Amino acid sequence: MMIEVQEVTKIFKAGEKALDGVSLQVAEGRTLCLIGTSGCGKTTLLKLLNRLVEPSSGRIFIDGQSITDQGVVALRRRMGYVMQKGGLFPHMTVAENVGLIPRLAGWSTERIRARLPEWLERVNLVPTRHFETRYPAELSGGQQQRVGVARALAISPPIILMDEPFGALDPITRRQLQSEFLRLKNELKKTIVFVTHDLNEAFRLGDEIAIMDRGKILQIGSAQSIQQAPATPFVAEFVRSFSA
Amino acid sequence: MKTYTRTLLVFRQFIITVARCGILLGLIGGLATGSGLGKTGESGRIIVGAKPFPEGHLLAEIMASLIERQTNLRVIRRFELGGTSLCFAALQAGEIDLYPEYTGTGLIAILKESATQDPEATYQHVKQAFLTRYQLRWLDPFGFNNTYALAVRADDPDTERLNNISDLHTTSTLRAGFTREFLQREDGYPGLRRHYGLHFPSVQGLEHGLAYKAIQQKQIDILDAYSTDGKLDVYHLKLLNDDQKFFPPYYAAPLVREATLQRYPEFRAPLGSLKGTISEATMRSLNYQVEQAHRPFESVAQEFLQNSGLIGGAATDASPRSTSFPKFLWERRQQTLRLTLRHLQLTGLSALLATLIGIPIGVAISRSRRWAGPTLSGMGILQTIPSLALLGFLIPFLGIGLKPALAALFLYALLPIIQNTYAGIRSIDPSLIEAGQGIGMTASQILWRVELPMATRFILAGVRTATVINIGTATLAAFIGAGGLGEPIFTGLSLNDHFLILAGAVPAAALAVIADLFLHRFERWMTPKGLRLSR
Repeated sequence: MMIEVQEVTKIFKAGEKALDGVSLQVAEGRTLCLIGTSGCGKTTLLKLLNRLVEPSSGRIFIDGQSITDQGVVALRRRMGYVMQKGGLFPHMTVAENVGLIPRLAGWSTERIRARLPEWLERVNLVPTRHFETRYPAELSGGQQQRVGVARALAISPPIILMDEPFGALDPITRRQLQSEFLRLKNELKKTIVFVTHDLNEAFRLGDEIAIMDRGKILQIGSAQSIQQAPATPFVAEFVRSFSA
Repeated sequence: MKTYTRTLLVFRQFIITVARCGILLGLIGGLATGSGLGKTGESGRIIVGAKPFPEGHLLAEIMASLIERQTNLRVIRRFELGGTSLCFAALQAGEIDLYPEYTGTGLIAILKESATQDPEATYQHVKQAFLTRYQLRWLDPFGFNNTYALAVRADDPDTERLNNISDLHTTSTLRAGFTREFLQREDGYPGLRRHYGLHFPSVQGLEHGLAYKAIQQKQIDILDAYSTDGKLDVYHLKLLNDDQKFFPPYYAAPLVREATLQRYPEFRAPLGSLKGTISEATMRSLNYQVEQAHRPFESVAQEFLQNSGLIGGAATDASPRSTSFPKFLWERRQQTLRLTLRHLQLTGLSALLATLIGIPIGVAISRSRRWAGPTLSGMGILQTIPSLALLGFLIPFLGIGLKPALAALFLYALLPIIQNTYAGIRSIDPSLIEAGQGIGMTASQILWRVELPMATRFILAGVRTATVINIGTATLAAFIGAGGLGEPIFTGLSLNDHFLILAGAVPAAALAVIADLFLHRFERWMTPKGLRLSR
């Protein structure tokens, strides 16, 4: 699954350009980290991919097909979506949250029930029987985030979009989840777009990193290339501020 | 089959949320098999109405018993209809066939003409005008003139030297307590004030029964009374002479639909036999019987008809009423049960209807800010219309009885339900809605699986508020003949009978408390467990 963004500009009502002529590609099975200061447009760019936001101009393709060619619901079901605070529904149990998409996609209760342990084990929510019946309010932040990931992976979408998924966690839990993310990434071979504001996280998790500022991508490349040859003074300053 | 089961599951949350609660209420109400209000003119039925004060009630009961005894017609009683305009509108609409009315009221309050002093000329004039204008017929008067009068304490040094209304010029300290109708009517206070040039330091609007209490406790000094009022002697009040002849004659007579007379000519004779049978003294004593001796209207009417030889049979005097409230309540348990069930029916059905219609409206306006403001403020304005005014307004469209009462209660119940549904949905964290969209839920899946379940407790709180308020408001339904626990309350108020007031008020209050507790538990039970944990 290849993602291709061509010359996308997004202007919100206030007239300011949230995104200004952005182009990029993500090859199949690769992880792209979008990083920048708050307000740089990274989250907007992510939401353009699953059409929570529509571009003012420019086009987006997945495997060569424009994302506007298909129904928005069908598009989103091919993309897992993980949000900062998990985005779990508080009135549903863990099992109901994780099984929601399969259920909406027409899976039978028995089939969901049979697969549930596997989905929860994958994100280390064990013993699974214990977690199935919990409500989000009974879980820690890290556990909630694991449920969010499990939900996104449930029907095995080829693409995963993650919007600062570990941003609100304490450092220890964050490192732990990052390790598990790397394990899952190698295991599942998804195409992933990952928004973060933490450069160390981006270096650790991303195959490519795109550094953004004021609606533009300043540099896109591997961790090594960015560290060794920052494209602009802003990138150099940005990298320095994290290594300090 | 699987898909079908799933669809059912999708709807489960909402069906449980709304329908169960509504249906429960509705079922309780539905158990009360309400005697539907039949339109008049159906075969063999005569509907007798009356205004909500003892004399009107008594005259109506006398007419009703006599028709029952002397014809084969079935008589339906719609007493305690809230006032002249309500009664007259109901008569015109054919919701009732007759009610006792006064010539002066017909002339001034209905025909909007100015007062004349000659009783016979007044009667002939209204008779002619009503027949041509409304196809309504005034039958022969009962005999007495119940004119408006002003009354003061007889044994009070401040007022004992007053004899005539014009004497009021010599004092300027009397506080007045007048009925609303008297304050409004051209043949009441406004006209009287101009005619005599009166001025009182304070004029309060009071319910008639309460005004007597107030004058006894010296909270007011002068009130409006009827000259046949049985309470005058009991409260040691004296009437002031209308020395400058302002009040027009008020001869009471049956006011009947001409169409009904032609359809059932047989009931004209019994009413005709009442002509001239009730003098002012007789009327005062009859009023005294019900108001002060607390005897039931039925037995006082019966006794009068027997004493005047209009019906035969030995006087079957009713046993004196109980002096302890619990005993009194026990004696009328059957009546109380019937009224309570009627009350539940009124509130249950209106709340159910408002729930079924209010929730979709609430959802709709939560989608569009543009409609939310106007809808909510429109409903708010509706809420400020006084209940009685709203009931009166609905009569031309829906008649009297169950239908307008349900309609009014429904309108009052709408606002809290719409408001809470709207607030409940707006209170959901927008990022959750976005999460739903992001993972590929459709708008209707988000509504049924996220928004409505999460707003459940708000919505149910709105239903609870609406129901509890409606239990109170539904007492007013008695004024338009819809029955319910308001019946004993308002009869009790006009009779100044505390037991009777309590016989309606206590069950109504109990009903409100029970409904509140029950719906509160229901709310907790319905709230998804995950939401209870997060608070």
